[in-house]
Amino acid sequence: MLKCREIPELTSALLDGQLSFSQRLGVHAHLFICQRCKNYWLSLRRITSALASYQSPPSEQQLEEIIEFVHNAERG
Amino acid sequence: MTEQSPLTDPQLRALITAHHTILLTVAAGIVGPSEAEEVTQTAWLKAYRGWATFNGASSVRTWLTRIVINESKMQLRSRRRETLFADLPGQQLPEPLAERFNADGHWRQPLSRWSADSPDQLLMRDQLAGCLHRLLARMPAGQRAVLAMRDNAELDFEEICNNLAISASNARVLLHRARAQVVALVDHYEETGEC
Repeated sequence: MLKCREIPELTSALLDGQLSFSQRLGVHAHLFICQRCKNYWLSLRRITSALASYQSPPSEQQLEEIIEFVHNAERG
Repeated sequence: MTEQSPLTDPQLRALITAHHTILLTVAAGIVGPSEAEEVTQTAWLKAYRGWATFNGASSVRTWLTRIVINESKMQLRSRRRETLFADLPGQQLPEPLAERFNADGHWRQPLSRWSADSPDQLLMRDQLAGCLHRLLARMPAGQRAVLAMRDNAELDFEEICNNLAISASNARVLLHRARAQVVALVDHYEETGEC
């Protein structure tokens, strides 16, 4: 029987398709009976969805440096 | 004379604004922070010139990330450096959620119930975005790069392992630890309104 402590790493691996059939079975059985771990799993899924659209804009200076680099290279 | 890119200046600016920081993180994980800016600039030039070849089979961020990875690997080859991913000290760091469990393995401090924001909004609240930015800056470069490749850029797990020449178990540990820190950060913010 899995311990709650094992669930964060196992659910992370579950997201990446890195668990065997029996491991997946064990994790899903645990999530079915443990509300706290199920809450962790749902939270982890929300975080990974949020990270896919996460943006952290560069500074204005970084932006202008890249634009200048591209334009200079294009002008040869 | 190179052919004119179909990408307009405002479009290029919008792409850089949306994706540059993630791309820089990916490059830093491979070539190190000192060469990441140079590599990423060159990658932007290649993306600009090759924009017509982007066919939408993957997201634009995934496409840009692959260009950065290729550029980073070329940089390593040109420097005759062999180790792609020297920075794996994340393996020795403590388990981020260890204090949330009792000795018997049960939750001592489970996650709280989070607000019902959509995933798009979850990390974009001003103060939390700042907290996340600082957390990511503190993470070891390898851990941060694997998180950026997998969760920000949505590369396949196997593709990340192949590109970085790391084992699946290493990537798995790095990803878990990075994600667990983000989960703990958001949970703390949800509970206290602070980082």
